[in-house]
Amino acid sequence: MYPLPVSWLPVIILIPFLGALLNGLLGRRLGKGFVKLVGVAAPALAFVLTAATFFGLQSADHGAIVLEGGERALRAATRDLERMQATGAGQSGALRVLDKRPQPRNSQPGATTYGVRVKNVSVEDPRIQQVMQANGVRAVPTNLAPRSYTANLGEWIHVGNFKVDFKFTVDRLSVVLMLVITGVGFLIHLYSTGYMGHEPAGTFARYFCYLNLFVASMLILVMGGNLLLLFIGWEGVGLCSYLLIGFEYDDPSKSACGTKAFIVNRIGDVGFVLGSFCLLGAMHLGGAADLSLDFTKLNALGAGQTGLVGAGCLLLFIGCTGKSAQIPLHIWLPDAMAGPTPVSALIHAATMVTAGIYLICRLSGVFGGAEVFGVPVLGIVAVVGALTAFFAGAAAIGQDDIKSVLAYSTVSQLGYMFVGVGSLAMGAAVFHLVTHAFFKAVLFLGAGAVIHATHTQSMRRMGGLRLYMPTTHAAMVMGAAALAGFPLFAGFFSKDMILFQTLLRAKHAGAAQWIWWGIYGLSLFTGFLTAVYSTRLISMTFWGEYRGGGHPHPAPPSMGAPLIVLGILSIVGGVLGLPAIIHALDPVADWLPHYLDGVWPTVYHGLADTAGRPQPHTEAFTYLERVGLVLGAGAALAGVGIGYHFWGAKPPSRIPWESQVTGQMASTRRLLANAWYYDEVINKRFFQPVTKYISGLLWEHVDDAAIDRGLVDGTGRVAVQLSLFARVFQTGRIARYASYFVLGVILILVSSHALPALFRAMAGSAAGAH
Amino acid sequence: MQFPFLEASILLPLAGAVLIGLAVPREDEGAIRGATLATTIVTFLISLPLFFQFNVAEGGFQFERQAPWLDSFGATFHLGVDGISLLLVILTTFLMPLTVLCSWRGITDKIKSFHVALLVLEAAMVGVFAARDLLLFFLFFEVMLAPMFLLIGVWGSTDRIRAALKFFIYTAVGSLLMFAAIAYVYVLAGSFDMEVISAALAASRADGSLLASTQFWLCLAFVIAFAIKVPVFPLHTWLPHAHVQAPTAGSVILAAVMLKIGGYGFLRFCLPWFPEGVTHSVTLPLLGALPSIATTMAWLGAIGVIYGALMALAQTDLKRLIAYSSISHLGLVVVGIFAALASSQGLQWTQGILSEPVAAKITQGHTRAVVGSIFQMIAHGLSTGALFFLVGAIYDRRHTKEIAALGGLATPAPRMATAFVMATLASVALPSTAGFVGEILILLGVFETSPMFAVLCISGMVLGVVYMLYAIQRVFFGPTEGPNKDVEDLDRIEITGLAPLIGFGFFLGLVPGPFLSRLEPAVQALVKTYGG
Repeated sequence: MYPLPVSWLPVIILIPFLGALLNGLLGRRLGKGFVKLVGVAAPALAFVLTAATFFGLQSADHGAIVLEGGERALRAATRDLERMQATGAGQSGALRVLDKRPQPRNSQPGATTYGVRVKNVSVEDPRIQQVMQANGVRAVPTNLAPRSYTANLGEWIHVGNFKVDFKFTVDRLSVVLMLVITGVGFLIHLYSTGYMGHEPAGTFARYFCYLNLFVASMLILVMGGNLLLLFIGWEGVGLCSYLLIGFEYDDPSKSACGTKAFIVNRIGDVGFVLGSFCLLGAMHLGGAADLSLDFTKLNALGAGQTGLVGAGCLLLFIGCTGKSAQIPLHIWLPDAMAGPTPVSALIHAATMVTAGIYLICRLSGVFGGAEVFGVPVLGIVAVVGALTAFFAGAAAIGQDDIKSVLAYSTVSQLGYMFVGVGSLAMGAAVFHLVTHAFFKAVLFLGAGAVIHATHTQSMRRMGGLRLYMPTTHAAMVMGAAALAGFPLFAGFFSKDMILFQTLLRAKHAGAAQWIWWGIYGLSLFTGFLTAVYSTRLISMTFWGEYRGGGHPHPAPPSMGAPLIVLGILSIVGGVLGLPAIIHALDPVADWLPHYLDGVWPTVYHGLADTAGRPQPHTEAFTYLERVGLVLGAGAALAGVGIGYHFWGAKPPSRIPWESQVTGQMASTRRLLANAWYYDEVINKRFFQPVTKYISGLLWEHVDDAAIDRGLVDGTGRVAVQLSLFARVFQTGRIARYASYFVLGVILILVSSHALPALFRAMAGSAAGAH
Repeated sequence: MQFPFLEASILLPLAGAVLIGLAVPREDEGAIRGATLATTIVTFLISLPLFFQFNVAEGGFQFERQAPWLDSFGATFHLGVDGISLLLVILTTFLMPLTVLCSWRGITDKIKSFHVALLVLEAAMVGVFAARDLLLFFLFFEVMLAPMFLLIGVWGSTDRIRAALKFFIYTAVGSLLMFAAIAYVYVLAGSFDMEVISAALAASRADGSLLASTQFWLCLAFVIAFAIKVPVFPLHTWLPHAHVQAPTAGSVILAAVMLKIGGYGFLRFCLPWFPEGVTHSVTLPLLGALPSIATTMAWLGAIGVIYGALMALAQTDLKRLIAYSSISHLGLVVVGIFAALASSQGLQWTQGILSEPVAAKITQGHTRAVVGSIFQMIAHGLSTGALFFLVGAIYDRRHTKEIAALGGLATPAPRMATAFVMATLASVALPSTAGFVGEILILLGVFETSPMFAVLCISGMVLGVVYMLYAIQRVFFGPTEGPNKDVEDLDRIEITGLAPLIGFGFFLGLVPGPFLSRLEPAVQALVKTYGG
């Protein structure tokens, strides 16, 4: 039973949108109390409806199982089941056989097993037990055909056979993200009422208007049923991000950061649009009657891979590098920290920047086997992710600004998620997305409380805050431990699930094994770096002596409560996906990835290199998982240890890394502080001056001088000169005119008689010469 | 018999002009503005049934009316609209009340003549889009020039005379060429009636008496006339001058409606009447085979997209910046109209992406691109209209359009800043605005038929954001200093004028269906000429 009718789905989007409208139009007049109420109630209400949708989806799946066994036995079992199906037909929720004939599963050379999917039934069901015994097959529970809800509001753009609908679809993947968006979103809205509390009513209303609009756009992004609808959300969140980064618009440097974010994202969006066109083109060539950008249709393209599909996926990934701040378009995210801190928590850590990961997960069917000149696109995704994770993680060590540390950390963690999707561990990537939303949100919100209290963002002027704001300290330590991948904290499990998948790839990939080893090694090392900068962040902010001015005050309750909730989630978030190394944990192991398995049923098929891989629950598999966990835990512990050893509770002046101004270490630090000088060289030294120079040059010398004053005015001048020349003959003397007349007659006679005669004569002599 | 909505939409503004001219005293400013506003609003209301009563299933020309006019020439007063004309007529009548509102504060001199000129202009513009007789079309086309010339020349800024002259001479040169072609077509068909001409031209194309080379020269004359109107690079330099000098109402009308006559002309005359002329390649001594009109126009359009954007980036005058953005946006429209017919010689590698071109596929793509082009013209009318409106509002307050002299306006005038940002979003084609629907259809259609042009034009997506956001940043954000502190926010009249422009910009982006469905049959009939 779904507790709400499907037509309610758009309401989930409408609520925050109405909140934005109310706050935008009436907020200033009705005052801060009203804005607070509307602003916080909107995401809260949306969260309640999302939860209802989640439970609805849950109960709508009456379970599904796969019967496994030999091909012949399965045929007999299928016949038995179909007889049972006939007796209960017509009722909703009745047992249903999804496959007419056994389908090959887990195809390994020599030992192919077959399966038949059956819906609305559990393994314990007596009917299934009977069939199992009668035919000698076994039953395995599965999520192969989870339900999704679709609300179609009608046509949007329809020209010829190109038809895009206003269609919202919610499946398990969407609902997980919706829970994060509205849940974490609600906490951050609540926190914002305190953080922005002393702003005047107009500014306060504007802030909540943008923030609610962001929630609505983000919901469109994850609920849209086709690529173009998703694009409304995609650019909508970009707009909100632009407005919120430059929220304090009277500061030119801050508004410039917003502009930069929008432009860099637009560069990525060009890839997005061209990528969609390529996929449409592939659909066209595939002989589709209707060109729609529905995800189901796009994912079906995965079956027939062409160069166009590969190009399309690569271009879409460029869009992802823009939105999710990956190399080469990552430069906007550190600048995005100009926005208010809660905005950084919600938009630039927990939700919007994960849109790229969501997109690839959503299109996993087509991305799964996409290749460009023989190179798998997902391989490129993983390499880019690993490189970004490393470069940004290293840059985080060189930052003094507490928010910059977190910004580079976010870029780095997003890199991990791309490593996850790139190694086909979509479930693990989404798991890390969720835990990251928890612990990065708490870190940002904690940083916000610290900035709020100390009126500075430089960690050099902090220290010792543990005594002044103990709640914030506790919450941030939880968050930092999760970020560092400290064993048993949320980030530990999710990061290790990703690392384990790359390890699996490295150990058993057929081709290009060394690349996967490289990705694994780099990711592991980045894990170590992560632990180092997490420890550094906590040490420099909270431990030792307070180095700033004034008297820092603890966070007010409206800010403290979200911190506590998110801090707890950073500890226990790991239960969403515990590793299956202990048998006692089996029922709950890998819960979230299993929950999502049904979303990408087609991904693992058609992959050449899954053949030799160990299957879950085998000894080889568990062994590798244990090795991965030990290595990951080792890297994290080493990082924390080294971090504590170097930074501990010391003031920066006594730490060589922070205080030296000359020598090898200082120049390395400068390199990292400037994030490898990438932005400086590519953007400030190359892109900006070149565009400025070219446009200035064209304007001054081509448009204004050559075309307008040269060609256009020149034509005018020539005309004037010609008429001045003609005026010479206009003398008014009759005798002159008579002589012109005679001259004209002679000219006509000559041209009509003498000239043709001359030509004829010349032609004759030429002919005679031959 | 049906109420003559079309005649009414032309005659009503004229009647209003005469009445105001004769009956309302010069000093009674309120009455003049009120009467003009009332006339334009009633005209808009009268034109609305054209949209709602349009038979979508039937398509073709509707609301046709024919009355005797110049019998000795075979010219009649023949009106009618298909989906393309329909939307442009509605756009015109929709915009006119708003231009009256945007002149409320700015125009204080010779108010009566100003409003009479506006009304005459409206009648002429509706007439241009509704005319089904070639001579009638030409008449309206020429009549339109005079009031616009006056708007710029009389109520413009300091260098107004030069700008008005440039505008006038440019257009006159174009109409001269067009008139020669019209005369030739008249001799061929023996009538000025467009339906008769279409049939006659089709017949003589079919029996081979109308050579491709003849079509080429006729088409060229029309194309040049309309390319000046669009304006297509490199015939564009009159536009920034005209915009910078024109009063706000002039700029709004110029950008929102008059430039669209260029695109309209391509679709009404060049493409359907001279299909072989559009794709014909002339061989000249020494130079060899020249690229066809379609190829040339597609390239010029694509150059215009990038060039216009780069020019906008270099401007220091806010109004000139938006004028150049128009050149960029309309370049895309030109690409949408011509790219499917452009020769892909030298671009074969792009054909590889989409395999062999199939006639049906080309037709599908071309239909999308052309529908998108018209939609983009409407969208551009709304967004750029709003932007010029706002620039006018800034100029009325600060008496400067220099970006450097402005800054931090969002603090004293938050509503103005909000409106400007929203108009910008519509201009840069944020999804859910009308511009997005137009742009995505053009780019998709072009990508399907000649992908290279789509790849070139899509760079406009980035550049558009660059120049618009830099402008916003420099004009509205940052610290507020000096006289900028005292800038008044938008008043009630201005908000009333702007809200429909911005509102419809979003409405069309979310509910484009009724508009697309009216355009599609008309465009399909047009594209069919190319043997789909």
